[in-house]
Amino acid sequence: MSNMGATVRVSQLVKSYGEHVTAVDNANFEVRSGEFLSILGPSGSGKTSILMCLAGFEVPTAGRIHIGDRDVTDLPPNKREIGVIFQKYALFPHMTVRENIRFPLKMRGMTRAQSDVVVEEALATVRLTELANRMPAQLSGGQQQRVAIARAISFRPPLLLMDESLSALDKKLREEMQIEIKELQRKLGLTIIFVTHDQEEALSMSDRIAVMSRGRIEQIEAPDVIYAAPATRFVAGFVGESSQISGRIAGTTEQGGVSVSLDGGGSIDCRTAPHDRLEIGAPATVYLRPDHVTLGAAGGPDTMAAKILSKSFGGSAVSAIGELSNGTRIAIRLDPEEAKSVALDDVVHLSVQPGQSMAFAAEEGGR
Amino acid sequence: MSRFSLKRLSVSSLVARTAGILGIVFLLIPTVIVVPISLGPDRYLRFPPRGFTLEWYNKLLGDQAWLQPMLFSAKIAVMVALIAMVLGTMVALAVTRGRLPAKKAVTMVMLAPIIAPGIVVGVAMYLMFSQMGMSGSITAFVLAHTVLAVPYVIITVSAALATSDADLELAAMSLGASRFNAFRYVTLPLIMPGLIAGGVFAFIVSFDEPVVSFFLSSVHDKTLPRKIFEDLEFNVSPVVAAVSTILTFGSIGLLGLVAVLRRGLSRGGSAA
Repeated sequence: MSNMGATVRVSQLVKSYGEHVTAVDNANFEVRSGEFLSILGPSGSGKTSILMCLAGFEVPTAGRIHIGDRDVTDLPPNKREIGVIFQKYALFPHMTVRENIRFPLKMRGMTRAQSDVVVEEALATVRLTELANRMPAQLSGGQQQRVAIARAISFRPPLLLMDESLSALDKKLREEMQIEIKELQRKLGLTIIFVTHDQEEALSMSDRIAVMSRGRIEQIEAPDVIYAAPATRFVAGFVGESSQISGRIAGTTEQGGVSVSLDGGGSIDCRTAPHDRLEIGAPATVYLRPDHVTLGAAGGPDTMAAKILSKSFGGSAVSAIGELSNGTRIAIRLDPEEAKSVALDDVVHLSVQPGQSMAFAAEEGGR
Repeated sequence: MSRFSLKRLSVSSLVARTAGILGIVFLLIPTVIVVPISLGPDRYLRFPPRGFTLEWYNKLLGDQAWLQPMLFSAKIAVMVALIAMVLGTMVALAVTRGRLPAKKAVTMVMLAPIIAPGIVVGVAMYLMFSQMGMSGSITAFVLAHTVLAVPYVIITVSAALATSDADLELAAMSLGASRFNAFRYVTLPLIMPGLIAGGVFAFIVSFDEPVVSFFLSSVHDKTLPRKIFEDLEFNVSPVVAAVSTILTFGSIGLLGLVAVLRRGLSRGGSAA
């Protein structure tokens, strides 16, 4: 029953509204068969516009979209064979669960008898057989989500598009659905393109993530690469937690990175993105992840003195905020035992693992 | 202090309530008073009636001079309702869902016939249709009344569309429905209560329409309101009161039907 997911190729996609608004600015990417690709970005970054173009609800201003070896750019949505799961599920309120799931089959001219088997199978896949005769309004959010999935896969599309589809669920249910969706994808071999602003969701579910900002794809890579080696300042700041510290490039390191002398004193050895040109003496911003900061001994090399401003217990770790002498704030993660020895307003010495943080050229006109 | 304000409040609310009731009575009396008049035995309009008879109803239903305009009006009103339902839905869809430039302007123009003085519309229609030699024809009536009735459908259908999620149509299309099928299987069932209400309004607007009909009617083909006017002019008989009574109860019945339908449909639509 498993069918092969489609490859998707988006080339030079541009979508503008009117003369002045460019929602998508020359997007190029390929999605492999059976891959889970997330398009991650803040609202207004153009991720939804890409989805709308893929689904056929919007006509691209320029560029082509291929699904499998079909050029679908000029096809209407109903000829594209794509399952779409909407943010608010868009279940038909006047139809029962079963009728909702039957709808795509009916539109394909299947008789009731033909579609019965398929509908029951889809219902079983999402474990909703018992609720088949309910109306959508009588279902919980998670159940509605499942109906939306069953409806979108019942006609066996090779590609599934999901638009912020989990954001309406509470945390626990969301995590359950994430696992279910991943299982389903593996079982059916589906290609999934998932649009979200939730980086945790993107990091945990995706094979690759395309990070978008202002209509451009900033980076498209596997989650661990995105996290560890962000290609642009935007990606470094948007994905994962990081503190930004300004300084100047002091020199290069043996590992091919740069050494940044911080404005508030001290220096950090950093890595750089391949295309970022950093000259010695130029202003730079260090993106420091809490993972790479530890409490150190006073006065050691590469340590910074910081005053603890706040602590918050988070289960396996305690998050704290420290303030450097020049007012820069740094997020720190402490293990609970360690945290007990640190009180508010204490001055601690932070040491930074060298060669882990990213440095980018400072934003022009800013800090 | 607090007792005073409390007392003032109750006095003012009493005044408001009385005024409200008087207002309703004032509005209703002319309509209600027609009923007993239509049942009185006198040959002219008299209130209170001296006795009870169904003579005027018998006369009305046995007289071609009355039956013909009634049938003519009904024929027009049915056609108007059907055409207005189609046109009004199309306009409502274009305005609420489409990417129409100058949506506000289009809406204003479409709703203008409600606001424009009836006499102006009437004269304009008369001039146009008489030039075209269509005055008094059923086509002229249907066209003229449709212009007046479409706004009601636009309003009720737009309201229904506003409460249904536009994503539903996109979802239907992504699931393989053509634009038309998405409308037929998803949008139409959801706006049906609003559409039916609009259709009933359109029917009533056309059936009751006096001003445009006054200009367009010919000697042979006249609508019921026009016939009522004529009758009032030449011989004021209780038949007019009988017609009015029938019209009033007919309208109430239709609106009641709409209310029942809406409730039934919305119950079936949201949850069983």
